[in-house]
Amino acid sequence: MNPVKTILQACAITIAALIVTAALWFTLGEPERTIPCDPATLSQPEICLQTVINDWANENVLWVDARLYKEWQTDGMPDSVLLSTDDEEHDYETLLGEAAERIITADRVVIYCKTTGCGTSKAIANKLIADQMNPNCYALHGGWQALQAAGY
Amino acid sequence: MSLRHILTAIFCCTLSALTAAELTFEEPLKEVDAPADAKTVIIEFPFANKSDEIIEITRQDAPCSCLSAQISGGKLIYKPGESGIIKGIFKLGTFSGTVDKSIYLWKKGDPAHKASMTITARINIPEIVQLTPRTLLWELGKEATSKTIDITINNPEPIKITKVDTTSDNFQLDLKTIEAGKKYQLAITPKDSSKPGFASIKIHSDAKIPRFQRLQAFCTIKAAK
Repeated sequence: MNPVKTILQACAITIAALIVTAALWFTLGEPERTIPCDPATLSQPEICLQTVINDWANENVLWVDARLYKEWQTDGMPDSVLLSTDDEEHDYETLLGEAAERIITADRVVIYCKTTGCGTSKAIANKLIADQMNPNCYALHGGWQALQAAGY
Repeated sequence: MSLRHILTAIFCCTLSALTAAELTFEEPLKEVDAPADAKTVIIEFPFANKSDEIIEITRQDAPCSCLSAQISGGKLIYKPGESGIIKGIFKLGTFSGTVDKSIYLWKKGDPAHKASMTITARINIPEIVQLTPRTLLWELGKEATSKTIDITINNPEPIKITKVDTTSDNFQLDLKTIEAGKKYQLAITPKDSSKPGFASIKIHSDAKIPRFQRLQAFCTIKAAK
């Protein structure tokens, strides 16, 4: 086996791949970076970000941040409220009391935590529904990661 | 490099993906009832390597600041037949109810963005003082009828409701003892339902656990949608 020939062949394949990639980028645009979400595969009370953006654009949607206070302060959704269950310095019940009126009067309440796997957003959504604070409470599939990937 | 070599390489990659081994967990979803006064819960997930390949755990991620995971003795490489335990340590915070917390595990060869193994703890944190319902609604402009909240103590020892108050003087409160330390009824009546309004109702108890010493219910007068 001629190593020089092998290296040249590998370089040729790499260059060809880059050319194809560039061509696809310019014709089809930037690759999709959003977190995929198929409404048919979600469990209650999850919701896709696309549903919130497309279907609820004209509704009073209250964003609820279930992360830590510091994270909410840094990059929480605009006009969102904080409902953290894990923050040692910010008691959940106190936060709930501060947010309650907005939760009750919102058309839709969408709760997000860090990622899909954190589980807190689902737990909070289910509790708000069980407490009859608002029947339209949802946990954002993908959490904060989905919002970031979509450019928020 | 001939076409035969390229095709062989593609075939081998595909074959290795199809036969990827994983650790086998006895219970990948484990449900636990936490004591009402617990601050942390430790849940163990035993596993074994039932494949015929060596499996190396390269990364673990628990996407919650309330959760950390330990792998038995720090051992990350498991030969066929070997077993271990992953211990999840959960801080419960001030929330009551049921919450799922997952730990993601990557083994060697997993793509960076997708773990091949997930274990989940379903933690039930009891509400020893339960308010039913927690939210009362009155329709704007309609008759200001009295509505009640049932306060039920789900605790072996009695818990007394010591005081109730409201953030709005538009709501009149009337606490009735059904069975001292076990069951109460709080009747709430708006004085004026012609204007939108909101109030938090604070219910104070002598519970030993701080998270149940002060509970909240909510009252709203709003227009029907």
